[in-house]
Amino acid sequence: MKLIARDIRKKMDGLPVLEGVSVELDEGEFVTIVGPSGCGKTTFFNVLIGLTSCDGGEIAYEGRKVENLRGLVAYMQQRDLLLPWRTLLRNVLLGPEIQGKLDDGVLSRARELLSFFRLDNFADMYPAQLSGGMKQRAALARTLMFGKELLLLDEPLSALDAITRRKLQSYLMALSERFGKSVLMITHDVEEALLLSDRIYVFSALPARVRRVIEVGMEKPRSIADKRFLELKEEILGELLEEVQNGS
Amino acid sequence: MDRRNFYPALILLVLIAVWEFLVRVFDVPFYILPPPSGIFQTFASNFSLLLRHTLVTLEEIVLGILLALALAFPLALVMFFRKSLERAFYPLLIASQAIPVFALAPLFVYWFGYSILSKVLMAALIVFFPITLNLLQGIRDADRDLVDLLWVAGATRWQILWKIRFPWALPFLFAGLKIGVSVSTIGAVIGEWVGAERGLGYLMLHANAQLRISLIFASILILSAIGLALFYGVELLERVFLPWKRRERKWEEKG
Repeated sequence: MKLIARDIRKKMDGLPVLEGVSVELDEGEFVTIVGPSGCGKTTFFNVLIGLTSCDGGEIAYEGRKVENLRGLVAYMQQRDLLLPWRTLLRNVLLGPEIQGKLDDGVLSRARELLSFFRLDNFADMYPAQLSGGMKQRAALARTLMFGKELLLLDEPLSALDAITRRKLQSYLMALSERFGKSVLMITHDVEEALLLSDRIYVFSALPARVRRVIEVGMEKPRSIADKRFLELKEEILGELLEEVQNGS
Repeated sequence: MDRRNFYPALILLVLIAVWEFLVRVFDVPFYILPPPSGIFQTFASNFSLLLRHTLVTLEEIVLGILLALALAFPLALVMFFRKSLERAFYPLLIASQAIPVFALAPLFVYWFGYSILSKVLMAALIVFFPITLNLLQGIRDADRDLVDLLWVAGATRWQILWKIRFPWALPFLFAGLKIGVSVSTIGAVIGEWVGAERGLGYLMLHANAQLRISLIFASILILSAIGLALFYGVELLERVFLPWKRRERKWEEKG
């Protein structure tokens, strides 16, 4: 197992936010977490990467117990978080730079990645000069350049419009299919989860528990018109709706 | 000429013309209020004298600004990294602004003499405050998510400072520097008034004693020009060091 989070518990201001959340992820897998908004998904991520402490549970990375995943994962948020004072190329080089691994090989890999994300013509532009979709693609390229095998993505496409999001989903697919990364992603888009994931964790409303684990098990690339796809989508949406109604 | 500068220039020209006109019509004596043309004549005929004293004052101001910068960086960093030191220094820093710089000038001259040092310190004292406060605020203000991004990647606090917080603080620093340099002339001139053998402030005192009012006006003109030049100099540096800011602005205008 690449990552095992077992029975993670967390209270904030005395209120339980995570009530024993367990998530597993195997090498090269694409796993998503869906849940009602405000259910503690991001808190769960923050515990994993060490931005928040937890009150109980354990995390194991590649079979070793770890405090958190700081320095072991590449992490990406809904906001592109590109540094406004750096050109795209220098943004993409941020990871190797702080790891002290900046050399010609890294530079040519960065350029290759930029061209994979169809940004090669914009390498010397500043983020403010680019569209939202381009910035998010650059952020994906930067996340890959951190050179980690495990990626944690917190709603990476949520800030984009529907069409741009659909276009970028193929890039997300490439993270595991082409680059061989293991991906743990939070999304509120059930269709996106079904398109990309090997496994889906459906979280309950606050306090978060894993309500259901779905092994999707369909060939990729998938079609949103497929019968099983539609069935699963209805099922998950139904569960989420139930959670929202219970929660409020 | 830039359309932005057109109206200010026009108003200035009109004011000068009115001044010239009124002085001539009411026949105001030259030693009370010289007309702009008279000031210009004085300026031209005393050019080398004025230049010599201008260079002295300019040197004091520039050294003062550099000294203020050299003090601002370590102090802002220390206050950022050590909360306890911030609590100790910050109120004192604010309180130091309540002391009128003018009141300190005699002391500085008493301690450091007629040399350039007392004037440099006066200028530095005035410039130091806005630079330090802005720098500290900029370092503190850096986007939490950007800091977290680097932290999660395993960056050290110095890497976070150097790659995130410091670039983030640069626009703040330049804003503080612009405020600082435009008032920096005050410090130097007061220092010269209290005790100096050279400089525009010294020249003004002398001119005053000899009722050479037009020479005072010429000095004031030069001091204003120094303030303006420093301000636009900083703006130029800002453009060089923050090229992304200009692009952002351009893009926002385009919408």
